[in-house]
Amino acid sequence: MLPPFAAFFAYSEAGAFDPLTRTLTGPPLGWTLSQYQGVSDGRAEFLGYFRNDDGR
Amino acid sequence: MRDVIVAGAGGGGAVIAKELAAVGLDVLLLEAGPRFADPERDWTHFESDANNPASGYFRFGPADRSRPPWVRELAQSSLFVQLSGVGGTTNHYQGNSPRAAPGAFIDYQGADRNAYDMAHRFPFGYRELVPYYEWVEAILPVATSPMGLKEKHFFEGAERLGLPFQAGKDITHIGFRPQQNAILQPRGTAGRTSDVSRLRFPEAFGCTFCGHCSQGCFEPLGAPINLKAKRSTSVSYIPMALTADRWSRRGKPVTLMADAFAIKVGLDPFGAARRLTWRIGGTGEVFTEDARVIVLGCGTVETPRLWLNSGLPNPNAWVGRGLTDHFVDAVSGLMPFDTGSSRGPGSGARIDYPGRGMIEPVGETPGLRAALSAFSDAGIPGFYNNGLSADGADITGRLVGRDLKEAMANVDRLLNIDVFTDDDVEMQNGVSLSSAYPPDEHGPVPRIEIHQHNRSTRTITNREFLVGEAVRLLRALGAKKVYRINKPPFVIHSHSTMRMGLSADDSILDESAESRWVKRLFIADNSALANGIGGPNPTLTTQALATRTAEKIFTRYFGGNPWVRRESPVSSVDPIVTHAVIERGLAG
Repeated sequence: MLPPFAAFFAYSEAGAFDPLTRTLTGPPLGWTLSQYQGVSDGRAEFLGYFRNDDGR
Repeated sequence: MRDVIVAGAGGGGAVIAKELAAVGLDVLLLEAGPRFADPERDWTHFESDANNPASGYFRFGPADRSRPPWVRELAQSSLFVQLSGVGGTTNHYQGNSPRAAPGAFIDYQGADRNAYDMAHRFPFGYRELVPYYEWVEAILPVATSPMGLKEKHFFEGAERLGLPFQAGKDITHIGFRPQQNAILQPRGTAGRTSDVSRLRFPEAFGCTFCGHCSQGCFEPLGAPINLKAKRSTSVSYIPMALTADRWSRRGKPVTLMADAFAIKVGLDPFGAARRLTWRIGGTGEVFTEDARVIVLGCGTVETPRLWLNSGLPNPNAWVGRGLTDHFVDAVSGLMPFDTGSSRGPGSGARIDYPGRGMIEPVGETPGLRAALSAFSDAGIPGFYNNGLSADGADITGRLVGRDLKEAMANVDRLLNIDVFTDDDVEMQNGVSLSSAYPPDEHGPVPRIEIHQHNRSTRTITNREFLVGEAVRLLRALGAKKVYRINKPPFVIHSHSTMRMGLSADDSILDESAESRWVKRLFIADNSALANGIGGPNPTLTTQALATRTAEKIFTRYFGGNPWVRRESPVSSVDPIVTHAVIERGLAG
């Protein structure tokens, strides 16, 4: 079980997370390595509905 | 004396509590974990803050995060992904709400009926469950998923394989389709901007495509609690349960108590369920209360644990046994284009293979993606493979070192497909009490046992078929490299450990979800399911079944009439509910 946990801590924000303030202390290395653009409250990613059918 | 005590406020317990409160019963709802009353305050979008199994707010453990998680013995390398807290595992689910495969039910007469687990079908017909599906779909509500990039690519792949489109909610043939999700469709600025200042309710409504389903949904910011995008029971059924007197003519609000771990079911002199004992985590105090009916909704591990720790009967030795988990696997493609994997809804598309299971694209943030890539039962590529055979992928097994770095070089170049197998009910897999670990403050701890190398031929054949289909789809889209993880038990869907069935020889519950040997004791979580429902995500089926069970309780023990076929459901997003939660001061 060690490799999954090591990978989780390497690629998540764990190493740059302050649990007291629940904020980042700097850019997490794993985000840089994986080109992750970071957390967000929303993204402009809506591409409509398949065959324009929203089911309503 | 209470009318009903429900232990467990997760995906099923919250449903049965709300339904019985709506018809005027006095319901006490207990939850072992935290309250999660204010998601904007309690949660963040950070993976380790949320999903760290030891200290994350979505661990299986007490409300006080400075204390260790609750212990479970895992008899094999595996992950059992459940969380404690009001809303239960629906807090981190992806909202996928498909119906079960009809072939999992006793009335199925299709030409492929022998493709299913014939020995362990539901003891009533699929058609009987449909009105309950419709009821829950209206309440949550469930809607057709919109597309993000990964869905668009997945549909294109399915079309290149020549698979047919499947319309409608029922699974009738092999086909691809948008997911039916318990996520409010995006309106206003939701999904159309990343400018936080424009993503507050009511300018934004519904799913904002943030990509953080696994960390809990508190979007859009500023929305009343019942108008958060993803319809975990903590924002749908629980707010309705707490305000039942406001939106139901005969309703009575539920009494909800968090940090209250059920530790014993007590019986009356005639052997019927009569009382429940629970322990408050913060103080260690123990309380007991009587009720006319007891409902267990503690989940597929804790419900059999509670049963066994209470010394309840187990004459056929099936308590805790028959665990189905969809024998989950994962296939990923390294793609020559942006997949949008870390953005948008968790999963908005699927392909159903009736009698085999289903596959779906999943979006993941980098920590979870990396962890799952390194979680394998098939060794390390190039070094050892644990005797598992080739499967058409370029790399099979645990990604570490250079392979992991290559796969993770851009999280949005991976297209990830999860495989959910229609697996057989087998007595060898399940939950018992641990003899290796000492009891904790709630009694003997559970032991989870899954014999992944010895599963039925049908289960293994189905899984390999679905993996092959996922590999084909990724190749059709031009994947530069395909990875098959071959996971050990990765239990994100779990069912049937207290199963209902046709025969008293291999089931705990009768067709009404009442215990065969302890009257007035019902079960309302995934453990009540007769089987793995054919592979689809189980939550909606558990919620439909819990609604049906609520009617059984009300008619059998309270002299009432059923309501699902006679009344119209009130949606959890109805303005009357919104006004009620605001008036009651429920957070949002």
